[in-house]
Amino acid sequence: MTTEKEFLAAVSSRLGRKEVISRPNWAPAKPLPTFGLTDPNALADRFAAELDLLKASVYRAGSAGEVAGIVISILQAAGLKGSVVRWADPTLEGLGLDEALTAGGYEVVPFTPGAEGLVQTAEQSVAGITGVDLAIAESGTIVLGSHRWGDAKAAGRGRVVSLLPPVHIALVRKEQLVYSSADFFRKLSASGPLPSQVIFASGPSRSADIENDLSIGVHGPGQEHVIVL
Amino acid sequence: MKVSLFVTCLADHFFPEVGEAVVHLLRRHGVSVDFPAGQTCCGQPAWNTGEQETARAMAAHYIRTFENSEYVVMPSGSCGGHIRYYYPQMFKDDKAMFAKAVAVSEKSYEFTEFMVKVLGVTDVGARFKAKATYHSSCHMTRELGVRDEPLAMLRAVRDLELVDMPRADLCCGFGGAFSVKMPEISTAMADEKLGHVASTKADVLVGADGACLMHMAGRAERIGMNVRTMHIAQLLWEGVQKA
Amino acid sequence: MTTTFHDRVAKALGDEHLKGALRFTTNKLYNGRLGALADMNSQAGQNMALGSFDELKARAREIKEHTLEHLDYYLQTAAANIRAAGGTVHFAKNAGEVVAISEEICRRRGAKLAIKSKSMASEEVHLNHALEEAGVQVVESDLGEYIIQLAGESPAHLVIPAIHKTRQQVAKLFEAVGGQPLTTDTPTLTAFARKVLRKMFMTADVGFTGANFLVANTGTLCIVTNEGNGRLTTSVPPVQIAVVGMEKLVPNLEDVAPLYALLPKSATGQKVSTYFNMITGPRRPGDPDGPEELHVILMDNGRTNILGSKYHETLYCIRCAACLNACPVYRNIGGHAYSPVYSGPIGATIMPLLDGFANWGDLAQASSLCGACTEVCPVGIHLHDHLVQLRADLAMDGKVHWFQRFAIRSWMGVWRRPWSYRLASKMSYWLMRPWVKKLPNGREVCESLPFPISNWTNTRNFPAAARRTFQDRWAELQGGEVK
Repeated sequence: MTTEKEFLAAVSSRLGRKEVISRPNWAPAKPLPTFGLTDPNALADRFAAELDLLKASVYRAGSAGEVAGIVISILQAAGLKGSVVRWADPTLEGLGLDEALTAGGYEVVPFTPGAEGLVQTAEQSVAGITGVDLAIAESGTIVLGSHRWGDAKAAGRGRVVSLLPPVHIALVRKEQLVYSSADFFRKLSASGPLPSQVIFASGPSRSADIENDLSIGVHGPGQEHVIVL
Repeated sequence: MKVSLFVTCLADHFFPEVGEAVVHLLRRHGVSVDFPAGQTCCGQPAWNTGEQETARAMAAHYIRTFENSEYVVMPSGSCGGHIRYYYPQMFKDDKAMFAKAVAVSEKSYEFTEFMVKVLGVTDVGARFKAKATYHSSCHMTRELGVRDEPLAMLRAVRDLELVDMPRADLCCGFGGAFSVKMPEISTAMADEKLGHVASTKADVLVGADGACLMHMAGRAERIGMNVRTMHIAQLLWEGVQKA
Repeated sequence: MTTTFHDRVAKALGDEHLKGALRFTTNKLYNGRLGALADMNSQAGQNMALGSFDELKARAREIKEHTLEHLDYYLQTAAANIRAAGGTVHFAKNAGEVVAISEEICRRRGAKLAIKSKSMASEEVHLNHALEEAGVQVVESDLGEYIIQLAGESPAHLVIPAIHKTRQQVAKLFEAVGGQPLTTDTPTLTAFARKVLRKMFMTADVGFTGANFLVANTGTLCIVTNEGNGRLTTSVPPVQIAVVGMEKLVPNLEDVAPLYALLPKSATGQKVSTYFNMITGPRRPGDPDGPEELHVILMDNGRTNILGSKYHETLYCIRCAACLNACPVYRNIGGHAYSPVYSGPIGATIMPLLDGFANWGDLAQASSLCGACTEVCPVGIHLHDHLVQLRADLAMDGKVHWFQRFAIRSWMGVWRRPWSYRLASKMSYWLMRPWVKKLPNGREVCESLPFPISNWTNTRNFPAAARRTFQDRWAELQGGEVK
């Protein structure tokens, strides 16, 4: 089997060197520009408009107290019954979610660190509820890290809450909105070690692999509901 | 203003009337035209089939033939593209030839490009009653960057109804030796192109490259499609005579 | 491959359904791309996007140029950072090594079932076949890849693998799996695949992915998907193996921004893909999900042949397939005529370079050199120039038929000298006369001519040479006054 040393030597040699070059200077000729919107209301409007184009649903919550009610109405409108998984994360606390869901007849399973069988539970659940780390207005994108930002030890999120159930509900706080993915990459670079997985999700899962005919909900959630608080 | 005509091997042999039309149109706009006698072919067939040494020799011949000209004008976007886009690349390792290649390529123009960009003429005063569609040839648009000039000239022709070609970006399938090496693909491409021509219901198919026109005309006749193919210089000159 | 390129082309051209499907889908993707880029350019004009197409293309090239110029450093850095995040790095110089490494991991884990998200790198090394031989069932999870896997075929398009399949054909393939009749509407077919594949995801021992970008300074794999299968593959099975072509590296996370801004727009006309997945290492302690092991196989497999050569810039490719969708040849013959892996202009260029002139040299001839590929390429690869260059290298390598070389060189040799050019003009007129026929439209043409021009006249008329060439006529024109 080829070793790292042999592999790199072959590459160096093709580039006209005897050994691996030391750290090259790198910065693009022009740094990434700043562009787009900064006003929170304008960002929220653009974000909502983009989500609409992506066939996701957007809800505006005027206060934290409204969130739980919106979640229940989403689940009921979709005719869903059964268990609901959610992140065990500070972003979803203080909203009265669990109480409201339990009262609505749903079994709530938070992704508490150490709990067993969470992936199987998520697969059997009718919906997954998450917060986001950031939201990108330009493209209607929500950003979901498998850990809380900059805190590699924080558990309680994982990867499948927003993935396995057919319905994903995400809570975005207005102050989490940025305009572009370039803003995101700048923030991320400055925020320390990355979570093991970071997802950009823009609308529900889709495919056009059969006769180029768009279909929604192939492997990921078929419904994406975003609540902007 | 003095212009040397590079008639191109194809027009020389198969469409001499295109060369004549170019001469008449240039003269009509006050240009004095000469025809350097030693000219042959730009060498594109050799380059495109990978015979690069041969292609360099052909290019060197073109460069010698036209190095003293003020401008060179040719009725072909493909030859023009080959000269302007590839000649400098061909001689990038030969400093002296590179400089000559750049110099000659910079003063070599496709006919409509010269008329519009250098002479500032879009309206040659032609009248031509027909419904026409324009085939934009690949090398002319992509290597030479000439897209709008021929269209501007055609729009200025009185009584000419110009219909947009659907998917004008698609190649007609000529491709030089490709048309003989891969005749089945080449013909399938021509058929798609002619389908688009037919959909415009045009009775004249006009283009600025003899090779594409020769390909499309040759296929159109075989499939019994009735469309007159014309080089733009031909249409303009006929139109001037009719006006 | 046992068939010749010409055989495969003939087969493709004989398939009217194929042609219809190719044109339908490539038209849609082509127009989608144009729309997305127009929108981006207009947004950029109002300072509402990262840049215009041309600006982003320049940025993308700058990043790729720099990274490949220092690829040894960035490979070393990426490997160190993947390890620092808890991943394992393997280096594979060829297909055999990729397969051997993958087999070894599967063996150690006692893997019986592997699920795959779409990966051209794994197609390149024919991973599925090799693993099946080793007793591991491999299931493709991208809907298009799943369809062609059931059909026992290879991908016909870089982005839309089952571009050539009708819904009726898909339904038949799915019925054979489920043993139940299915209607042919898209929601039914999609739901069926979701159900079958979900079970596979939940029980798979290993998940295989590729990567669109690999960020050296963080060791992050970036995976672009729409369906969510890429997320499932990297979230549920206990082991993830990523097969990554070594040209996928970029230095920093910020460098992903321009490349990702170009990729979905160029590929499908989407502003962004539904999912963009960034993986840095395996699951962390206390995590409820994610793979326990993450393996990254950095693959050469012929890329060092290209690195530093005159074809170097073909390594900039981000596999968007815009060149396939714009190509007038691809839309007529489809992917299978090119090769089981890469097709279209990029395939015609890199297959001979990655896997040898002997097998794939003919692909370089499958282009009219129209340059549509070069025009649409988001990283500015001069594809049609490379095809021309390949033809020259093929000729030097003895891979072009002697007769063609002889014919072109003799022809051009005669035309190089004015006197022999003129003599040939006269002769060609007279030589063609026996075949010349006057058509009702007034044109003089040949409806047949001897080989090799017969290849033309079999389907097209060839114009007769003029009795008097332009050179002959110049004398009369010369007296013409400037009016």
